[in-house]
Amino acid sequence: MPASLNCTIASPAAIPPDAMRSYEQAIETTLPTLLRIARRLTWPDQDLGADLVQDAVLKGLRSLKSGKLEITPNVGAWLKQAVYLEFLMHKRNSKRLTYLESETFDQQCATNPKPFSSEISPEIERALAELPDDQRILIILVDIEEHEYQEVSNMLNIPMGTVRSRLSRARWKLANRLHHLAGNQS
Amino acid sequence: MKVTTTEEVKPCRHVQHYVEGQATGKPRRWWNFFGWLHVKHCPQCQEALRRLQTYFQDIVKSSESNLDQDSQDIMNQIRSKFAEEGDSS
Repeated sequence: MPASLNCTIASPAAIPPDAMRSYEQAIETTLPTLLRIARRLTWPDQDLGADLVQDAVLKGLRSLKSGKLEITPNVGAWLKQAVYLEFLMHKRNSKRLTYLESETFDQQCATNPKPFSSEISPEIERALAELPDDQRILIILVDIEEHEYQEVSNMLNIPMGTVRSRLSRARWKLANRLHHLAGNQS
Repeated sequence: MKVTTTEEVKPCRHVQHYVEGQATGKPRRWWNFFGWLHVKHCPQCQEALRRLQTYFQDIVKSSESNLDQDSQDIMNQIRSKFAEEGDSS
């Protein structure tokens, strides 16, 4: 499990209005990205994705209050990591995602036919959802959100070599999976 | 060698970085000629490259999304939670 990002420790006190404003601005800027990441992690449960984002943002607020987090340009990365950690925690604490029965999964896919874009087949999202979490988060961050390897390595606190190898494995799995799906449809 | 559509395909190990680089559009220069020559004559690597390129096209399309309204709703919820947290402290 990734450890938390290095952030400067501020003195524990009430949040100064400037810091609060900066935090809100940081959230507003990164919110669409956070939401996309969370919803891809929890797909097809879109509401759970939104809940995870809220939990991560509130966790940030509490960390800000307790002085564990200071407003730096790193806040966006901290929030993305927090969303991923919230997802892992949720998954560990509940069987809701891990043991989704195939029928429930299909039902949810049917009720959420257009999670991100009207042009995209849910099969892509489904293929993504079937990857192990540690590979899926890398596909989301590197291939979809277009972060650099180094950024992701810092964000998730895993070595660059691990990022590369996991990503490579995940890409080949998806490439072959999507190819088979396309082959079956045609 | 003929590659059928149902089998899992990966490029030959020694040109894997080259094929991935080609598909992502970030080739490593010193692999270029050697990799290009190999892929030109290897149907398995050609098929693997084609699949990975298709994957990248699909995934790029999937990142086009419109979450503006959702983001706005969630931001409003977050603001009200901020207010609650502020009151409780």
